Amino acid sequence: MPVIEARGLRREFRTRFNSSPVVAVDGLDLSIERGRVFGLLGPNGSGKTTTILMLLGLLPPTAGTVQVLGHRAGAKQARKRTGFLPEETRLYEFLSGEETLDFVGRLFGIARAERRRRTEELLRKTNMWDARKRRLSTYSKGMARRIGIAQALISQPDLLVLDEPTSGLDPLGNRGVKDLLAEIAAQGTTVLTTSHILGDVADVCDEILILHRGHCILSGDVSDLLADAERLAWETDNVTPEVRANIEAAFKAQGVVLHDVRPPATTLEALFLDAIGRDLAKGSGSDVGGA
Amino acid sequence: MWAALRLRLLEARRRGGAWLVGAALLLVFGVALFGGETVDGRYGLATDIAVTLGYIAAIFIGAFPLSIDRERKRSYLPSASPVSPFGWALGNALAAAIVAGGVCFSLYAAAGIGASARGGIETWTMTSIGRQGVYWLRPGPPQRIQVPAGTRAMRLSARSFLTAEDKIGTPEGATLGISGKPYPIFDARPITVPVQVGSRTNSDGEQEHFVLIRNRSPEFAVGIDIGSVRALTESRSFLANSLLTGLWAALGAGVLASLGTAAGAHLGAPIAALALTLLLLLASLKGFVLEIIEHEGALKRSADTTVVHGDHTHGGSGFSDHPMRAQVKRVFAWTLGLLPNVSEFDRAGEAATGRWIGTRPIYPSSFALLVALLIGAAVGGLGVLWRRTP
Repeated sequence: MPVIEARGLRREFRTRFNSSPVVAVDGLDLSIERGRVFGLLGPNGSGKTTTILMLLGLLPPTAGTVQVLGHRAGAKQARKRTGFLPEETRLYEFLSGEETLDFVGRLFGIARAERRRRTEELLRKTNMWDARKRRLSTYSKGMARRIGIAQALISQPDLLVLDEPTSGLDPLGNRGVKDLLAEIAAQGTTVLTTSHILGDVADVCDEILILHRGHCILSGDVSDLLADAERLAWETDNVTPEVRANIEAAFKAQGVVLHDVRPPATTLEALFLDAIGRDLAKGSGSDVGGA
Repeated sequence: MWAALRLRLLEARRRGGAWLVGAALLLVFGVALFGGETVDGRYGLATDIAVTLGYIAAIFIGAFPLSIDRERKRSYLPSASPVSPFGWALGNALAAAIVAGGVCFSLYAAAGIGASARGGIETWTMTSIGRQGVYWLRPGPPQRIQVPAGTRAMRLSARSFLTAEDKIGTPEGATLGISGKPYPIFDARPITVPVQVGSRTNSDGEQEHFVLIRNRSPEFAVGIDIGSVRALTESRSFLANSLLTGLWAALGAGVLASLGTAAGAHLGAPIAALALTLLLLLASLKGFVLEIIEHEGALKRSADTTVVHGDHTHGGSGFSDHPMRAQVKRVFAWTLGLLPNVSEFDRAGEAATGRWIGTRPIYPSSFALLVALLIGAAVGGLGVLWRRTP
């Protein structure tokens, strides 16, 4: 049974001074299987957040049906097994990071000792342990985001819904979140995430759906969608100029056009992480920095 | 519910609430200590400030938190969690009620402590003599009015004056002698005076206590409204009075804050605050209207039978007779119908003796207080549920 099953989902908004409704989501069908990392993509205003709010039962759909974890969207049984990170980290800034996790743990009815254990585990996992006593009002955007992700995980949910989880994070935090998502997915948790950063989506998602003006315009497995059967790429090393000349001649002889031949370049993210990693190894870094 | 309660109490403390309350307590305490020449005046002013600040605090404490949550979309957190929406709403309303009630009660206590600290030790409570009708005092020797044992003062009002020609009028300058001292009286205007109580054994062998009252006017019989005669018997410290009155004020503030929670969640903080302020003003208007009806009724009673109507410059219970602070007290006294009619003791105390006289305190049990707070919180909670959209 799919973890999320939506059929014909539609949501209209009426503005106060304009009687004609604005359609945010129009006839969306969605099915997410257990253990998948599902990416909901789309430009601003495409209906991603509205879709998420409907899936969580926070916004009633104008039409259509939603089942989450076998229950009606918003049912207590579904909410109990769902973790949620809102689009911008909307937390109580007068609480500390530790108190925030404890508060959300209370909302989920987790026993005190277990709350403490999970709080410590998540604070360490999100590199927020050293800043746990500080109030959220003193956190940078990235730190608040990490606490937001930690609170979404406090209940050890079967379904994790993340709205722009890497928004505001520096490359290090971004990498950390992606690693965390991979780890969570490996444990069998279903993840539904939205993002504007397509590279992040490609890194972590198994499946995507692209929304535009409330419609689904593309969906499927990431590997299938990104695969290009018409083209091939080789990667090798220790190629001398003579070997290269011979290979190019062989291609030419076969009538194959070589579009691009160049040494591979590392990614900027990899370069950044490598530099930070070396600096941390020298002992001059901190694990509580902001975005 | 408890998560919400704990969160809001923490919020009240962390958002500088403790500093604000501390400053308000100092202000009230200072006024009770140094705010006037007499201890009665200081205590009256301090409690005026206490009730005003307490109710303003109730409006803010109630109207803002959930409204801000909604504005900042923080309400997603509890809404997406398995917490019961009713429990969440109830917890918020209850927390607002507790904080507002606590603030209001503390302010009253500060007024009582301040007044007690500078030697103020007593206010009086009233006991109705319990008879009805008009007691006619004709010019002549003193007459006895029976009072309860322990009576220390008396509050009464004259309703009619009978001329020598048997015409009812409202002459100026009519004077009563009470316990040997002269007091001017006016139509329908209550006076409160200290009395010397005499006692004697009646024909049945029972001890009777009485006050001697004499009509000192040579030409008028004075009709005293027996229903308005109150013997002031009990003595009570300012502190006890402030704590008891503070309980009721706290109850009103708590219910107001609970209503504010619902209003804030629905209307947004500014509109909710405005609506609650209007509610208070309307409630006070009710008090004014009742006062006016009472006053007009007194005039009408006179006018129906009066040949020589006279003028009422000195008569009635017109508000011009009282200082502004009495009006402020009335505003809050009538709020939601929960507080005792504070104007009773303003009128009695200030119209005649200049003393501040307390009404009979009503002793709410802690259980009744808890039930009332819960009802207020439930109303607030249900109001929040009415609009659950985060």
